[in-house]
Amino acid sequence: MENSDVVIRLEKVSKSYGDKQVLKNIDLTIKKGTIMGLVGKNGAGKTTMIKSLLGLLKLDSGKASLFGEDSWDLPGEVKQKLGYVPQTVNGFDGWMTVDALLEYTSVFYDKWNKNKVDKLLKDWNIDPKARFRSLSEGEKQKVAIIMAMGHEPELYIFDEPVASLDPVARRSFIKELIDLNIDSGTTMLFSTHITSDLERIAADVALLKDNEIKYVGELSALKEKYDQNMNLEDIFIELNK
Amino acid sequence: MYYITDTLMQFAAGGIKIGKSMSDNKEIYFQIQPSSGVPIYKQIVDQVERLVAGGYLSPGDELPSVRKVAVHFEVNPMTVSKAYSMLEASNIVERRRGMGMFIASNSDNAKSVKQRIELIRPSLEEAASQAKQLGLPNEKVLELFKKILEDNDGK
Amino acid sequence: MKVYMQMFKYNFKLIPKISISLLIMMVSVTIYKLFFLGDDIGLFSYNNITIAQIVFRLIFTIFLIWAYFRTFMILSGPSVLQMIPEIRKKAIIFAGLNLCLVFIWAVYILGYNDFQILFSFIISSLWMLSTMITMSSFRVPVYRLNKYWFLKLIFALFSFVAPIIYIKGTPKHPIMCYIILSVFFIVIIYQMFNFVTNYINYRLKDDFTKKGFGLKINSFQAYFDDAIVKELNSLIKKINSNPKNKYIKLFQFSLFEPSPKILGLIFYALIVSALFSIRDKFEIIYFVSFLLFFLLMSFFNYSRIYRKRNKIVYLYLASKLSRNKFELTVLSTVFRQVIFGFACSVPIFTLGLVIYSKYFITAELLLILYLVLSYYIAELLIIYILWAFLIKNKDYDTIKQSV
Repeated sequence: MENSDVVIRLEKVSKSYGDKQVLKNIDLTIKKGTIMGLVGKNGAGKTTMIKSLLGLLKLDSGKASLFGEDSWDLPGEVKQKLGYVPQTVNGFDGWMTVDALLEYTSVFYDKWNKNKVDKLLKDWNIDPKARFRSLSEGEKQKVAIIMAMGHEPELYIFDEPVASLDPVARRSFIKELIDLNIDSGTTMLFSTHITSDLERIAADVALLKDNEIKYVGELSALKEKYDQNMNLEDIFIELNK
Repeated sequence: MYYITDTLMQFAAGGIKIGKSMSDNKEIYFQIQPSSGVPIYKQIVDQVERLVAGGYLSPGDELPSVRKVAVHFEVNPMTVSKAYSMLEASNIVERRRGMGMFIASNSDNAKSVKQRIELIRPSLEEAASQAKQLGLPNEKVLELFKKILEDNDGK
Repeated sequence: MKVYMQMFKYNFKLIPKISISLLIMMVSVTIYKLFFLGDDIGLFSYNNITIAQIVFRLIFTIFLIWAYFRTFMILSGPSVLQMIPEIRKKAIIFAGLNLCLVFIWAVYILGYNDFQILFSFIISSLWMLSTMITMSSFRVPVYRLNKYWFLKLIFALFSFVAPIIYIKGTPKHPIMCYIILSVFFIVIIYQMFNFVTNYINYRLKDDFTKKGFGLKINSFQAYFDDAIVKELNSLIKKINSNPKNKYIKLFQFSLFEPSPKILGLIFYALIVSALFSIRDKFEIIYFVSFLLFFLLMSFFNYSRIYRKRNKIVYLYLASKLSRNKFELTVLSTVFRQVIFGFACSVPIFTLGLVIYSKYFITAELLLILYLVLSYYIAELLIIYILWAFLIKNKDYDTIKQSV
C-alpha cells in the first residue's frame, strides 16, 4: 500500500490547541516531483500542518509521514533528504558570519554542494563576511533558503519563505526552485499567501479553510472551475467568504 | 520592414523564440500570464492552436522544450508538459523521439499518423507473407519498398 | 528632584517583574531587621545564627548585587549613547543617588556596631562597583587610549585580589595589608572618578577617531565576535578531520554559547569568598546556603538552555539522528558540560582547601568535600529531571523560547 512514490502523506490528521481546533481530519498526499502550494488565511493551520509533518508537533489523531516514515520519529536518513525554511529565522547567533553559518550547517549533512551555495550567495548579493545580525530581514531569509538548499534535499518544505523578500528576489527564488525541480525532480511544499508566486511555481494547490482542506488538486483544474476572469487570488477570496 | 517591426513588437511582449522552422526563417512567439484566470496549460494550448491556424507555425516547426519554456517564463514545468501532452493528443503536435515536439505534418487532418499507418497494415502483411513464401531475405524486401516509396515521392 | 522621581518611575516600569521582586526583597529584609533583630544585632553578626538569618542574608546579598547590576545596566544601555552631556550628567547623579540610598540602607541593616563587618561590606561594595565599571566599560566607549586599558587591567586584578588579601592577611603582615588596601582604595576611587567624568563628557566624534592598544568599542565587539567565529572554524576543522562524536561537539557549541571568561572568574571568586567567609567559625549552614543558591542558579541556567527552542528545533532537523538518539545526545552534551565544569573547579577547590587546611580538622575538610560533591550530584540530577520534563518526547515547537 505504501507507494514509494509518495513523499508526503497526511491521513485523517487532527490537531487542537486546547479547545481550539486547528486541523480537522486532513487528508493529503503529495507525490514525488510535485510542487504543491498551500494556501489559507493566516491562522488557517498551514504552519501547524507543516510543523506536524516535520515532527515538531504531536498530532491528536491521524498519521503524518514523510517518505513513508512516521513524522514524529523521522530517521536520520530521511531528515538528510529534507530542506526546511521556516517563517522566521531566529535561531542563529548574531555574531556568526554568513560563511561561518553555512560552514556550520554543512557539517551536519553527508553531502553539501559548496559551489551551488557560493553561486547563490553571489547571485543574491550577500556578503559572506557579513555578520548575521547586521543583515536585513530579506537577507536573513535568503540565507535561510541557501542553508536549506546546500545539502540538495529531495523534499523542500517552505513556510512563507518569501514574505520578507522584494519582488526581484522572489522571482529569482522561484526561478531557482524551478531549475531544481527540472534538474532533480525535487518535491516541494510551499506555504504562502502570495498567490502570484504560487501561480507560477505550483502545479497543485491545497486550500485550507475552517481547519479542513477545501480543495486539493491541480491549480489549472481549480481555475477552470471558476470564471475565466478570476485568478487564484480572486478564487481564494471567493472561497473564503 | 513589416517583418522587422512585427519581430520587435513580439519581442517586446516578452515572448519566446521558437526554433527556426524547416521551411523558412520566421520567428514565432507565445506568451504566458501566470496570474490570469486561465490556467497556464490552457494558455499554451490555445496559443499554439491559433499560431497553427494563422499559419505562423507550419508542420515540422519545432516547439521549444518544456525546460526552456518553464525556465524562461518561470513556471512549473509540469504545466508546460501538460499543455504539450494535450496538443499531442489532439494531433496538433507530434513527439519525435530524441528530438522534441514538432508541429504535426497533417495537422488539419483529424487522423494521426498512427491511425493512418494502421490502414496499410493489411497490405504490408500480405506482402510480407508473399515474401516469406518466395524465401526472400528481409533487407531485400525493405530495399524494394523504400525504392517504391521514393519513386512515389517524386510523383 | 522631579526629574529623578521620573527616572525612578521609568526604570521601575521598564522591568516590572524584577523591580517588584527587588522591592519585596528590600521590604522583607527591612521588616526582619526592624522587628526580629532590633537595633543591637546586625544581619551578619556571628551570634546565634538562625536559619531565618541565613535566608535573609542571602536575600540581602542578592538584592545588593542586583541593585548594583541594574544601575550599570541602565548606565551602559545603548540608548545612553545618544544622550547629550546634560542628560548623561543627570543619569550619573541618578545612579549615584540610587547607590547611595542603597548603601545607607545596607549600613542600617548591617548594624553600626560591628566595624569588621562594615569594613568588609565597604570593600565588597567597592569591589562590586569596580567590577561593574570594568564590565560596563566594554560596552560604553568611555576608555579609548592606551593608558585606560592598562589601568583597566590593574583594576581587574585589584578587584579580584584585594578583598581576599584583606580578609586573609590582617593579623600576619599588617603593613603590607594596609598598603595593598590603600592602593586598592585609591585605584578604585580614581576609576570611579575617571568613569564619571568620561561618561559625562563622552563625545561621539572624538571617541571614534581615537585609536588605541585597546580597541574601539565596535571593533572590540568585532574582536570578540571574531574570536568566537575562529573557535567555530576550528571546531569545524576538528570535526572534519575526526567525525567521531561530531554531534556532541556541535550541540555543545550551539547550546552553550562561548561566554566571556571573566564571568567564570567572577563565579570562582564568589566561591572562594564563600570559603573564606567561614574561616572564623565553621558555619556549615552558611556554606550550605551558598551551595543551595548556586544550585538554584543552575536550575535556571539549565532550564534556559533546554528552552532554546529555535536552536533545538534546528539541531533536531539538521542532525542525522533519530528522535531518541537526538534527545539522548542533548542530555549527554549537558552532562559533559557539567563534568567539564567540575573538572575545572577542582583546582580552585583544592587550592582553597589547602590554604585553609590549618583552620579545619580533617573531618570538617571531608565534610566540605562531601558537600561539594553532593552539589555536583544534585546538579546532574537537576539536569536529568529538567531534560525529562522539557525535552524528552516533547513537541519541540511548544517549548517556550527562553531569552
